[in-house]
Amino acid sequence: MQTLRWVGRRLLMGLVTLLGIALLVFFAARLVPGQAASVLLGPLATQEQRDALTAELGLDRDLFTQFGIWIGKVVTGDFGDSIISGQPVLDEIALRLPVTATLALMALGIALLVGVPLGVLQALRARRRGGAVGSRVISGLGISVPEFVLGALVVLLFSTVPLGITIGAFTAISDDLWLGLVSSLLPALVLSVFCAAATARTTRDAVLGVLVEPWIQAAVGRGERPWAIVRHHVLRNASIPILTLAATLLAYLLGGAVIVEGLFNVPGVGSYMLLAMDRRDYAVIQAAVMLAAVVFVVMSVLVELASNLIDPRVSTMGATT
Amino acid sequence: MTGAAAALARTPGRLRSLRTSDPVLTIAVVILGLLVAASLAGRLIPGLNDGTTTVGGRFEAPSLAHPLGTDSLGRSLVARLLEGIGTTFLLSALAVLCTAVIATALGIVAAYAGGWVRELVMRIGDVLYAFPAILLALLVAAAIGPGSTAALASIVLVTVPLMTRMVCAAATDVARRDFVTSARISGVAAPVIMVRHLLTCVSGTVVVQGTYALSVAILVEGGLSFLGYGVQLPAASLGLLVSEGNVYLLTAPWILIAAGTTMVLAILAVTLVGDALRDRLEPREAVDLT
Amino acid sequence: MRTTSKITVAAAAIAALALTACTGGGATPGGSEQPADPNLPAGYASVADESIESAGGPLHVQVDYDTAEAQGLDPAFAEIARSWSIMGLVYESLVTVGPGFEIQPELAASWEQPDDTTYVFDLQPGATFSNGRAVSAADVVGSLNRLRESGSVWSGQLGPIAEIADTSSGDAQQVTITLETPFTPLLAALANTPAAILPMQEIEAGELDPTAEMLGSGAFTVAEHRQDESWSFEANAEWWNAEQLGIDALELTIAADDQTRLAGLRDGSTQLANFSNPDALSLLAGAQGVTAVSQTQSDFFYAMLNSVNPDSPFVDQQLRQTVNAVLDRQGIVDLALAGAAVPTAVTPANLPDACAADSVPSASAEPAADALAGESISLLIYNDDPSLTALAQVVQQQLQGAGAEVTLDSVDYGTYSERVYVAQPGDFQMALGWFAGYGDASMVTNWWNPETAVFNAGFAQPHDDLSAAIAEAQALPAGTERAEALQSVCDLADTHAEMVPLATRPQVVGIRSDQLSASVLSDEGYGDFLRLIAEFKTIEG
Repeated sequence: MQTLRWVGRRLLMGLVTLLGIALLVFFAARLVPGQAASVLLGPLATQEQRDALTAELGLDRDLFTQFGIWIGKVVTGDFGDSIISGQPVLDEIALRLPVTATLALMALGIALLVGVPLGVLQALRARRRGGAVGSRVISGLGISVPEFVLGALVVLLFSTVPLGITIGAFTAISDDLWLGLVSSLLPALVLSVFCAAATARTTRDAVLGVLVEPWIQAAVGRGERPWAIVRHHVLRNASIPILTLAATLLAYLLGGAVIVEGLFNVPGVGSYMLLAMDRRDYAVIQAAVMLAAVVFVVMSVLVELASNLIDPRVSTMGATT
Repeated sequence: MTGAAAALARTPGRLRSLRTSDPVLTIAVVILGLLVAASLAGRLIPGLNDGTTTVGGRFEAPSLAHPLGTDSLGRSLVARLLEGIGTTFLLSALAVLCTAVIATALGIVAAYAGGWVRELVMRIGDVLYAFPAILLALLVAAAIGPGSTAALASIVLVTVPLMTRMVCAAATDVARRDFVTSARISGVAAPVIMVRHLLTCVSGTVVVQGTYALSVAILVEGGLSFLGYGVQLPAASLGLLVSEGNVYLLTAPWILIAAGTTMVLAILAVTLVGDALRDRLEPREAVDLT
Repeated sequence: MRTTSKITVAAAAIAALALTACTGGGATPGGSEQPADPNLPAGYASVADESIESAGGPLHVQVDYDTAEAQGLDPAFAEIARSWSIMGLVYESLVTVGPGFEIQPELAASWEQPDDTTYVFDLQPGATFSNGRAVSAADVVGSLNRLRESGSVWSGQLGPIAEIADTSSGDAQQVTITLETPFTPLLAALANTPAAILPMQEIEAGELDPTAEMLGSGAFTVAEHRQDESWSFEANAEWWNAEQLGIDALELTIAADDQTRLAGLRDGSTQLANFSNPDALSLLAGAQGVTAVSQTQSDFFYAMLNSVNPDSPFVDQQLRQTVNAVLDRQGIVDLALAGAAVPTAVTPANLPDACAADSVPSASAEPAADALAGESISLLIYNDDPSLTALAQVVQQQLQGAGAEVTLDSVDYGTYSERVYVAQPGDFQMALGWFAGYGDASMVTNWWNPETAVFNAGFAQPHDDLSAAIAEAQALPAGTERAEALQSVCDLADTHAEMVPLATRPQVVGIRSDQLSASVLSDEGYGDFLRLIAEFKTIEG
């Protein structure tokens, strides 16, 4: 019962956040100079043509009315139509979401598989003189190499040396499952480097945080073997920050890895948003941001819920915030 | 950078121990020092800083006259790199300074006031935090026009939420302690408490988070420039040079090698210094299992 | 030059609106340095080997941006060069452009010009829309009248048409166009995709919405379109020339980023791709199995000097002329465009009858070394075209060399468009942009009359002498007399110096020549590097 009330409260807070984001994206998008009608119609259009299109798109009304109309529809699940294609925005995004989701899940999977063991190793060796230098520098490098540098190197390498994966032709998993997975692999790898390094660093800190607990010392005192201690006591208790980070990373990846999608010509949500920005396709910008935010809010509620289940001591359910 | 340097300056004893015990940190500090010196040299020594003038042919390979070669418009890459380091560091440092001021003020006020003020600050933070960062940056850049100001504003917007949250958390811990409560009861004015007690207690957090924010700043500047919304040509920044280097990786690899290496080293050094600062300023005694 | 074109694409695409077509950089009448390959026939940058038995398909092509038009897929309203190429795969016009900008038959098998205001077109026997219905003279008359009445940009390029009539007798389908006064660019205007012949019977019956669907008489039909991602085309079995077609399926991928297209060619997953970055030539030079050719576009970059906005220093004609004289066009070509372009005057340098870039008054003016001392100039550009950014920096260096203080104001395309074309007066001092150059030297000169080209009214003023010279040149038949008339257009435009031509815009076409034998013209006026796709042969293996 308490859990339900807590979830309800968190979701309510989430709604407030979403309303804030709705306001922000709506007005920020309209602060950008260059109106949709002039961008779409181009320089050769007359003022009358621009006015007509503006009226047709409903952009001639005052901003607050427009916002009211939009938010009213959003509540019913209607995010409007794309100015460019005329199709419902949700359909357009649904076309691209599987591509981005594949990429995001692959990248996150790789990141966790690599990052968690690396982080544990770093933590265990933290006190050793010079013992952690290698892994510190590696995970430091991981978060220091920008994806546009790494991506460019990977694109060049795989396009000049035949290594079995072609860059030039991206296949969506909805068209061909196997080819889709193969062509997602390289961009996912590029994305995963930063994520893996961030995971390793968070894991290291989390594990170190657990290692100061008296019951770990007790376990050491009982003569339990180090890896058994890690498995039984440390990882479970260190998993909360890792989970939180994973959720943040997933939301970030689903929100559109704009640069990597561009480099590998992946037709995902990120590149779609970028195009929408250029064309002042407001409905698309708004919907894409709102969806990313919904993912973010839901993920954070889930993570907190999971944290409470894992370690009731950190429960925030009774707390005021 | 400035944050880290300032913190190091204030803790000479620790710095000495870092020097002796940690070669990685020493190297990181030296790299940072060199980069700062390079950016200053680019600005102060006449003749070194002219990164906007064509001095040779297009894409000349490194030579005595142009030690790092030339770019697509025949400009000396040494001059452009020096200018780029300067722009990137200045921009990032300035942005992080803004972030630190805003986040510290918001975090402390929220922690001290509690209640609905805290709630409001946290919710606004959530909004910014849940907004896809790159899109937020792009919207800002498109709204105020691509360029240094846009990059600066974007970096601040991207880094403020996390830092505010961390400062607020740290300050909340302090605000609940007895000495703050007794100061309140004895009628000390709120601003005085905030500055005297809370600010001093969260300064470690601010320095550590500021260092991390600095590495984020360099990355955001790079990403924005890569997408064409950051620093604009003919000015140079590390991000701009890297994105030009990407295109010409095959025919003029020296551009990406010079700019990319500098950028990676800069972020790496800042991160490592941040790690070391955190270990010193927020120490934990972990059990050695192995 | 940045990689970025993701954004760019869209913006460039939009920038392209009518103003645009594509790039170029090679040789031709105007003359540039690309040495002519002795094995190639004149006017070709690459020729498909007719002896190859084509392996069929699919052919994979990557292009830099997709069509994105307010009126969807309706060719009459198409303003972007890429729309012209893509729609041109499905639709046919009466005529097309061949080597050296020669007008050649397409849907019209032949035509005659009994006098200088009458054109009689005989349609291809067997021309059929992809739904199986024969193309009739009524479709031609209906389509062209629809274009004239549309008020679209291209309707203004058709000239003073008096009547378009169905003059068929018996089975032979024939159309006669009568002009009020002679208008030489008519055929070149009819050759572009906006003058495509649509199935008017189906449109008038309400069976076809041309903004949503394409139904043409050309080589291909659309199998699938994903906006900004890809197009799938299939060979149109009903095409009158279907037997000649070497490709049975065409996959067109939109790849905004230069690096993606370079990678696609290098790893062989793409057989053909275009680049507006002239350095693509050297970037592809060592790639196994890849041939890169430079196609000279009649499109050209120009500078706008705002003479309308009272806050602009360029209300002063003297200053405009000084800036015009200070600009070193060959320097711009060499440094910003990798030498893969040519300096040009108002008439695109590679078109017949064009005036030479160095023939105009400003070319022989000798401004003082500090002619612009004390001037402070703001130069507006959009941030998504690497060539434009490179050009702007060279212009900035050149003007600063003459003592001016020049700041670059780089904004995204939407903002640029608002400030240059929508704001009245235009909200800038100096700006850079580019025009499509089209297929006849007198066509683009229309844009130098802001009463016709209303989009220029925010920064350029109408001049009676220039407008009269433009109209006069368009009425003259091609030849020496017209070249002289065009020379005076160039001279007057140069003197008024409000829109100052700089250099042609390069386009590089990359061909995976071990997989594809392709024909590419060495000159192009409408950005259509796929113009000769019917001749392409894919190579097995």
